[in-house]
Amino acid sequence: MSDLRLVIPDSLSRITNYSFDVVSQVTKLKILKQEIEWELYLDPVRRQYNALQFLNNTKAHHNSHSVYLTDRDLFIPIFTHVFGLAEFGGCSAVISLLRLDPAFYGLPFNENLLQQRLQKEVLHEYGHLLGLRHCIQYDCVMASSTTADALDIKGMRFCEICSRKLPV
Amino acid sequence: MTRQNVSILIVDDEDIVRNSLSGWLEEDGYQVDTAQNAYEALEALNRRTWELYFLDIKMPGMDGVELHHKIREVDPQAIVIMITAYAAVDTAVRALKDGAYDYITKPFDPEDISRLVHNAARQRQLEKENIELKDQLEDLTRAPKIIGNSKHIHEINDLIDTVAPTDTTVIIRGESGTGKELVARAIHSKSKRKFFPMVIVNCGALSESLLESELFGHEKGAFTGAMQRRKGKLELADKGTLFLDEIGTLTPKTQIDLLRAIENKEFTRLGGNEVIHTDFRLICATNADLEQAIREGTFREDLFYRLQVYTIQLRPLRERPEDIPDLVRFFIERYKRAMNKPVGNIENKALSMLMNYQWPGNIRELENAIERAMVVVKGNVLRKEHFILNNSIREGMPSDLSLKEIEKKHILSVLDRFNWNISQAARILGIDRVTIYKKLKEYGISREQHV
Ligand SMILES: [Zn+2]
Ligand SMILES: [Zn+2]
Repeated sequence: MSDLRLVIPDSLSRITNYSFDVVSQVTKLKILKQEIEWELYLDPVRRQYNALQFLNNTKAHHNSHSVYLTDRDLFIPIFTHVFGLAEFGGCSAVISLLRLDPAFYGLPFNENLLQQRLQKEVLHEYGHLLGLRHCIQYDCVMASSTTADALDIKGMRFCEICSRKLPV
Repeated sequence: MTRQNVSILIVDDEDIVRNSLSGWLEEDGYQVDTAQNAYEALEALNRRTWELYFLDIKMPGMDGVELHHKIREVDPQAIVIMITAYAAVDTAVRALKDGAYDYITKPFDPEDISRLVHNAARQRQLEKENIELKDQLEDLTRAPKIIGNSKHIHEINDLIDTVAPTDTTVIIRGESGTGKELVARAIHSKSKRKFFPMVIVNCGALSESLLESELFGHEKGAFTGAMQRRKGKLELADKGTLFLDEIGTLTPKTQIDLLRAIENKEFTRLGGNEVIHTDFRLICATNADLEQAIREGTFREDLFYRLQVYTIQLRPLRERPEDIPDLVRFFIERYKRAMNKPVGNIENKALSMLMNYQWPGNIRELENAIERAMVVVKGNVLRKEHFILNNSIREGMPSDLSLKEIEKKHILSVLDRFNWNISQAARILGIDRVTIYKKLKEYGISREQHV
């Protein structure tokens, strides 16, 4: 399987200390620092950033998958918001930490929980990059989750069926 | 219901909505199709239907509200979700009153959509199961309807109603495919035995020894291969009805065994001594000329008189073409449901072709022809080219029709040719219009049945 590049901006540099042990078991993980010019993708009316436009503008890196992290609120035109977005079977995905953070919902900051949610999201979007669709096993990391609570319910690994579909 | 079984059609003129929503729903495992506008959607609806529809309210040309009405005409059970901008919520609410399931406002909350689709799919599934259960229940207890409106069908229904409440033995005669088993079922389900089984034996399908074992049952070890004691159909029909089809094929031995069982209302299983008492009502059917068989000595006269208590003679379909339109509509309805196709009608040209065909295989052949046409049809109307009839036996009058029947066929074919213009037909036939009306009344035919 190809490498996974986790691309983070300076504002999220604390993430370099987070544990991505489960992701590392699946693939070789590289953490890179890079700033994204998010203002290009700002929708002034919605005051959110267009994740679809961002992915369309992002060039593929040869023989590797990239997951970009941001603290901006992401959307795609038909949805009020998205936690993340991946090109299905493609090279790039993007994840926003904003709505993964319990603080966003007025709850006390909980770094441990944020770490877990982020790792699940990274694994989930990586699954999409590898061509996996949503899974009906509620505890599989590929289960669709539209709320942070649903994210907490599912597990941090690919179920047996999804594992079998992964490229070797 | 797995998500793979839930089909969704999204109709929206905005590429971004179509692509994002369908991509998102597909990722969740649903089967998604899209259309750019109402016309494209209606065109697709000629071929199939979907479980769920997302319709954008504001579209150029025909809008979502009008499309919703049209979908409901073809697919009354459709679950429709309207897509709206904040500005058009009023219209969406009005659509709910017209039967839409719900509406969503752009941009959608992913959580809302996920829940909405899940619930809608479940409701659709429940409705489907409900309909199926109801059908099954009704099939079990309700007498099957003998389709048709001809004088002959009215007579058959009268005969059924008269004999059903009694325990009289009935013999149903008629060519194959004329619906003898259906008549037997109708008698059974209108009788006081309807809550007990109707047991069917096709006497023509089995060899003598197998048929005997099937009818009377056998004890363990009665013959090679008889590993277990087995109850026969006569025993299983206790308190119910025994329907013996193709009675004309019985061998002399089985004829005499059956005659004894009927006369004494008791019998023994093959290889056994225990006398079994059973109480069944006997209905037989045959397409054979039993009188001829008696003359030739292949059918026992005493058995014949036992069976020949009450005869229901079914006439072949070619002698009552006026029943064809009702039958055609009945079968269209049946296959429309089974195939989930929006076919609702048949063109006049095709119908009159069907009415002029000889139907050597009778109603069964007609049903097969409709089923085939329903498979190949693309639009919602069955046309002439969708049918394959065996043309070699088509046209021409069968020689065994009475003069009256030939007259009726001729009058009907002339009327058809002139599109039921009575004056024109009267001129061709050399009779006056009043006579045509009188004849039609006599045949029990009204114009509506034919057009
Ligand atoms: Zn996903
Ligand atoms: Zn899975």
